Amino acid sequence: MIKVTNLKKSYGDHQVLDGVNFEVKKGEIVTLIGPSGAGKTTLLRTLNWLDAPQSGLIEIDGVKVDASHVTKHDIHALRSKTAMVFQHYNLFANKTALENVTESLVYVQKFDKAKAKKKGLELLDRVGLADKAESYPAFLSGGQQQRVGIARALAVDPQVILFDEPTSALDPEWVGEVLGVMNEIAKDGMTMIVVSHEMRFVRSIATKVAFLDGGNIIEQGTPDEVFLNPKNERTKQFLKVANLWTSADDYVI
Amino acid sequence: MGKVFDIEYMISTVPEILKYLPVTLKIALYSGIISLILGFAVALVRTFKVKVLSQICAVYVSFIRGTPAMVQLLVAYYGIPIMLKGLNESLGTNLNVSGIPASVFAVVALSLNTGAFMSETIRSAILSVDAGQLEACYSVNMNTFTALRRVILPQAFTVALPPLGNSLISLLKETSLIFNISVIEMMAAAKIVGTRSFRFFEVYIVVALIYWVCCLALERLLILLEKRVRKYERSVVK
Repeated sequence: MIKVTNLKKSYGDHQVLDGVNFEVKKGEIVTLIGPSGAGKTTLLRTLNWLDAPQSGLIEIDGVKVDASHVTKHDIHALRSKTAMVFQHYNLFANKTALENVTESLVYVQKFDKAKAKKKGLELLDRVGLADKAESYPAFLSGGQQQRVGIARALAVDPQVILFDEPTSALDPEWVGEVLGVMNEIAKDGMTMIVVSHEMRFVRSIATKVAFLDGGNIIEQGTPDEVFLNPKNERTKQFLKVANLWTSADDYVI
Repeated sequence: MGKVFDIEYMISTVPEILKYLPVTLKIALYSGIISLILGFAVALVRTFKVKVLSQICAVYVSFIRGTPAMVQLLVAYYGIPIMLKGLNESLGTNLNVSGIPASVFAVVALSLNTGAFMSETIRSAILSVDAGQLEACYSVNMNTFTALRRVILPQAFTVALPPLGNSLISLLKETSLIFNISVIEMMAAAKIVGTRSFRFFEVYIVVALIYWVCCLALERLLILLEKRVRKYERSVVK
């Protein structure tokens, strides 16, 4: 359903995405892992066109965008298929939890207000926050804000939700509630691409893991393939540092 | 020699001076509205770096900030009629130059002046809104116009309100300059009353107090407005 071909982006001399090729099937939960600066977040953001790649093709659910000559229409078409959950939530600070969800319903999808409110409350209920509908983001905990962020993304009715380190700004006690909601959504069959450092969560939820380094995907496979039997040296090194994989050589008898 | 400070006389002049308060308030109100619109437009042009316009706006702001309000007032008073005359001659139009009341020049000059300062306030307020807010708008497929209207500008307004209030209060006080271009408002009325008795000190005290009361009222209004627009922010425990 998602097909990325030869995607390139650079800032000056620095090649952030170096010809990435990448495919995701409907209902897959793909996790992007890798060291800082590998291009995980940039790759994710290009799918929502929050970062503009210089060349390459992005195709999501029939919408094809050629990065080298992109139009406004392309960008809106692409964004109607994708939604983003941000590391720092980025909830609209001047809107209540409910308005955060309904804003795109009313002003992008042109729902009438009553219908938007009904759907907004349903979505808030789905993330367990129906009782906080009238609260402003500043009055919600980090975990609650991120759950509203997920409800806001769901309101777009996207083909894929992109999660950019959704739990890394959260207190440990709030991580669980956000991961719980993500699990629920995954169970409902939503396609998800997640940049995450929560390796244990990655292992439990992902159907596919892609390891990025130096602006490209170096290794990908099921979580078991990548975590238990990494083939690439860089992957091995990264997982070793992250304490997720131990090679036989490390055991000293 | 009579009394050093004649309170009874001072009080007796209040009605005559107060009669011109509406002129002062009207000019302040019109200039306030125009300068807000102008400041907002200039701020948008400069924030989005609109070609050519943005450079023109930069020169405008620099000129207004770099010259005294008094000079701007006189330049408008003498300059606008000359410009209109030139227009009449070159285009063959027949605009009645001498028929324009001086208060119009006052409003033009004060609006241009306050608008320039407000544009900088509004521009910095827009820039102060976290870039993540705009990204969030884009992530749910809003266009830039909707994002500005629904999310960015309301937040910028909260930030801009206190300094905009300052500008409005300054504007109200700067109307006291326009007696120089023969508009009879409160300050001019005070001068006229004072000339009759040569008790200038008393009448200027009256004017000062009236301005103060007006500014106090404006301040209260701004505080109420600020409370309203800040409802989404959490206050810090004292």
